[in-house]
Amino acid sequence: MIDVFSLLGHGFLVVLTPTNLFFCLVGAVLGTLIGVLPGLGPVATISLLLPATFALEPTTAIIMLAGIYYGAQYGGSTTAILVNIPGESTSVVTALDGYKMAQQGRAGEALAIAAIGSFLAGCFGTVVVAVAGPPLAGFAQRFASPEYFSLMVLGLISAIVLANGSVIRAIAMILLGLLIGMVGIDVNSGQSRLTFGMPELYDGVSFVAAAMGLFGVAEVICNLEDGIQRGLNAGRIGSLMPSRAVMRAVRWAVVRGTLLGTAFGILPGGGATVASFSAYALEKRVAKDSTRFGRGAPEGVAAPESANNAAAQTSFVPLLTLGIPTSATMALMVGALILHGITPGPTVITRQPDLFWGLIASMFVGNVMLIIINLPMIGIWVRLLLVPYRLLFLLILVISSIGIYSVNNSPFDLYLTIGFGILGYLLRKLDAEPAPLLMGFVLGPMMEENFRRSLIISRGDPLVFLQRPISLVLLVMSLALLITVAMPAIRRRREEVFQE
Amino acid sequence: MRSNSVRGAVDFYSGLLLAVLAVAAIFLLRDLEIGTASDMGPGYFPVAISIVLLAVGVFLIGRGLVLDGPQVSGMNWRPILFVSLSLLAFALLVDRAGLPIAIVAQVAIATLGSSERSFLQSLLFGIALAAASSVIFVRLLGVPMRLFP
Repeated sequence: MIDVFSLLGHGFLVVLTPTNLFFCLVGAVLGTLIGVLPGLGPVATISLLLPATFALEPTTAIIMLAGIYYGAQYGGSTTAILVNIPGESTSVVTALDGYKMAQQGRAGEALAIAAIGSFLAGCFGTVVVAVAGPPLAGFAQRFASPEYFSLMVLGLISAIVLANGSVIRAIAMILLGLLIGMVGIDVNSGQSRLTFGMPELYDGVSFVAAAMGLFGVAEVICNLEDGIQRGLNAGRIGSLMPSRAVMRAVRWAVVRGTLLGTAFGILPGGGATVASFSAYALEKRVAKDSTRFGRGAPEGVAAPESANNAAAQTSFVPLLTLGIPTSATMALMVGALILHGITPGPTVITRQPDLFWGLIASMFVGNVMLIIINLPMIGIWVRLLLVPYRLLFLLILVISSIGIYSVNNSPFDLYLTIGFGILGYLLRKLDAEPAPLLMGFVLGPMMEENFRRSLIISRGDPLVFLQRPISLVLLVMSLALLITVAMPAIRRRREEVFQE
Repeated sequence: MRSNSVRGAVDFYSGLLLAVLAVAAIFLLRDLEIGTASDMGPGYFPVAISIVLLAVGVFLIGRGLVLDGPQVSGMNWRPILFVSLSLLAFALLVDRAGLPIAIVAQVAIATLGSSERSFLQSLLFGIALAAASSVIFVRLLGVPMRLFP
């Protein structure tokens, strides 16, 4: 424990340099901004800013990108409560009771509960990263190729189980992502695969182009088609200080939400969205009078907001200890680390202590900044909602174009982005979520590499995955997950959760 | 794509999309050596994935034909066409005419994709964006891009 404290102290020294503090603040402000603005999510924003981080130190870059992610969890609740439009998918359930509270003139109270819950959950989640990270990474150093392959199988299966919507579609999206990940020169044989003879594709499909197309551009097209309507109708925010009685009422909701979110964040495929939905469902279940929900129950704001923020922090655990992304946002973080020459994996903590401990300390600092940015300065963010989408989408398109171009200083990636934009749009039309696709895309080359290496070690015997104990356990867990999702009772329950 | 002849249109068309992509991938990979499990060629893993993807696609096509399912919601061609064209315009112009002209052209085309149009306002916004991006990205952040034709 003392070790953790001294290392954490080192992390604070890393963060408390003017540059890192500044970019932590930039991340937190940007995160709040895009959280407030509907139609612009963290995945799109992070891919947008990836090229801009080239000039920064890797630690500074990751501190800023992480700030965008957890900052968006704060900002998303603001619009959900004030105008009944969730700024982020993670705040969809917050709108149910938060907006009702706003209509009853308790907007300030709801905002305060959301911010305080987020803050406490964020700090707890960060402690879990600090305490659980190093031992898990130590354990993961015993992993060889078969273990890594099985771990990725488990990650992809969890992504399928926890994806909202159809299971078979999630499987299809992962397969498609794996296939797109195969594009480029095969490392072992030097032969080009699926490149259409284009030298620009020899290094593989550009990650930024794929992410921007599937999320940024496709979302713009969908938003234009649906026509985002918004109007500011919550007049008064009211007192920002919740009464003692309310604080007592939501106390346990915050605790439950935090614990649930922490667990979901670590789980592969989990992430903040599923965490917030489950936390809301849990509150409804444990409440003495569940009919209060949907009519302005403070627990309905406290639990999901705590859960999504806790999950946003702990989803860094599998990334930093195993090198495995658990969600589309974390897949982007893998991309960011690789662009900066750092291979995510169990050695990050020992080889890049500045990065790991600096990031953790920055999460504490960032959460403090966020509660200040979000509570006293709420009025500024509300005014942002007045920017009409017909101008906002132009801004998004222009900044994306510049960002994509500047990765390789070539217009080629923009052509790819157009293709991915159209693909992303078609997939959305066909009820297929592109998030698992992005995960498959990132994991594809790693999976193939480990699969081939495992079978070379075993001389072609596929039983190698079952003969090694850790690998066997991981595969059994995957199988158990698959069985649970196939079981009718659980499937119905799962649909219920996503229905709400 | 608004078709009532297929019972589960969403299933059918997503299956079709996946199957076509899988068949195309198998076709493109046809010359690569597959190899054996102990000595995998470059084609082994991608072909294996394509085959599973094809199977999923065929399953969805079948389910769409047999079972009733959701229909595809109506498509509006305007946004997808003009957003794609606007990115294309930027890509084609940025190296030839420079960043400011590329941005103005992109904004002008993208505006046509929005249903609520006020062309003049968008154009002014585009010019402001072009000026701001030139200063922020090229002058301050040092992104190597041409400013003038």
